[in-house]
Amino acid sequence: MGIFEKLQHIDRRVMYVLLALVLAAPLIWVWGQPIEVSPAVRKAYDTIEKMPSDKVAIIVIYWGSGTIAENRPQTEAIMRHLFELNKKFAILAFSPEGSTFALDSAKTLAAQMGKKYGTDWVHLGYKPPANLVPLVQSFPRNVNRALVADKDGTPLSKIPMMRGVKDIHDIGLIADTTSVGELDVWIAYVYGPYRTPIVYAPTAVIAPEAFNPLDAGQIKGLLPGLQGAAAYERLLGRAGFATKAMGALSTSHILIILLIIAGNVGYISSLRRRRREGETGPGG
Amino acid sequence: MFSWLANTETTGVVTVWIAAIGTLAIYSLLYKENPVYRMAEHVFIGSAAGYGVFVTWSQLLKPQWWDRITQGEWYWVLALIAGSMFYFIYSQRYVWISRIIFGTLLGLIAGAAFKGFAGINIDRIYASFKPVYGHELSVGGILNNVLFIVILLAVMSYFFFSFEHRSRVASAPAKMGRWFLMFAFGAMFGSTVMARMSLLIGRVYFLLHDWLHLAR
Repeated sequence: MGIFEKLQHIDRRVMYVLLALVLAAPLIWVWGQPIEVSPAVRKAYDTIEKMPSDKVAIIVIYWGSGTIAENRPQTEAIMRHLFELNKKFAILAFSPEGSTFALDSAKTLAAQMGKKYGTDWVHLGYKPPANLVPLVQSFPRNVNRALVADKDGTPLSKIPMMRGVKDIHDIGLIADTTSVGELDVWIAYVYGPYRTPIVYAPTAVIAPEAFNPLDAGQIKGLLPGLQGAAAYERLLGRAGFATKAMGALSTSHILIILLIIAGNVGYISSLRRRRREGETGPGG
Repeated sequence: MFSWLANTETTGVVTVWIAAIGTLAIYSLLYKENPVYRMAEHVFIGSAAGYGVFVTWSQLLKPQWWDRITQGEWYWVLALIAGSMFYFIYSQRYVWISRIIFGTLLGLIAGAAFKGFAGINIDRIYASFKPVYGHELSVGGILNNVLFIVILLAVMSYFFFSFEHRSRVASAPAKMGRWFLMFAFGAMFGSTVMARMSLLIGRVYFLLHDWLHLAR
């Protein structure tokens, strides 16, 4: 087997080891990485900055352990920004795991930044995904009736920051952090009729689909995956996990590009050689 | 026997070790299929399902349904009746009961989807009418909008199936549309690779930082 054939048949386990090495090295020796802030991320930042302080932001959590590496840094960056601006937020979770992860993140950040549950933030508990459409349709008209209580069963009327929240006009922002891509539901029933700003923080897999609504103004900002979270951390001036991960993301991409080139060089070369052999071979 | 559980430092260490072993067990599939991977997979699925049941009860059913019934709002029992109707799908004799609730639900969803269609698409259609002159557009802005319109029309012509694309007038834009779609799929695939790498980085970082204390 020649070198070109070998390039096409690299053992996948060799590739996994290479990938593990190129991912681990930048994480151990933290390689500084210039982070570009795209206009979409900048818009998300500006939208949160502009949210009126007397209104409440809703942070939608529709992700679990499978995409925690992407969605948690996004969620924490948005929470941190809202806390820094002294703006209130309510967590609304459509995933049982995500509900707990978001609660942990909010508790940790609140402890660091001196924020109080019920006054600065609240967790509205887990809602089953099957309830998404009815809930998104009903809560804009009557928040208390649709969302009822927080995660511990405390009625919203007894939670200080939620007392003045009657309907969608008291909600200044929807920040949708998701691995599912249920954005259209929020656009259809919240942005469409009420024009409440939506900031969208999806995993990178579903992020390309969001450029259409971004172009149409249906979402007011986009944090695409881990890179979006890193750019947001840069705007906040605080390097978190997403910023640390950017070096590893770049090296992994370089490795994949090199492997694609190697595979194609091997394929084209072996194709040419087979053609040559066909021309000069028996009967050729 | 379980007094060590009260020590948060100890439980933190134990949690990290369990998570690290679980991560390595799942990744052992990359070498080859093996019983350790199978066991880890089953443990994960089982614990995730169990945790889902716990959160559903503690954060949803108990505060918003059970507590209400026990506090006198008896009519919430009706929700149990409606919910139970779904399970008649398993009975050949009473399957018609499940059809009532499924039919109601489907009707509601169809109505909601119909209403949502306008909310989703009208703004997007409007946004696709882009100006190619005036509006204080820069040269770059004009080129951008022209490119957008060309791609939009080419891709739409690719999905035009009312007649066969025999003439060049019909086939050339459709071919262009196919190429543009390929570029879009390529970009989406690149984004998918980035997403998968991000998830892997999350796990590698956990192993190096939380478990081995090698990463900063």
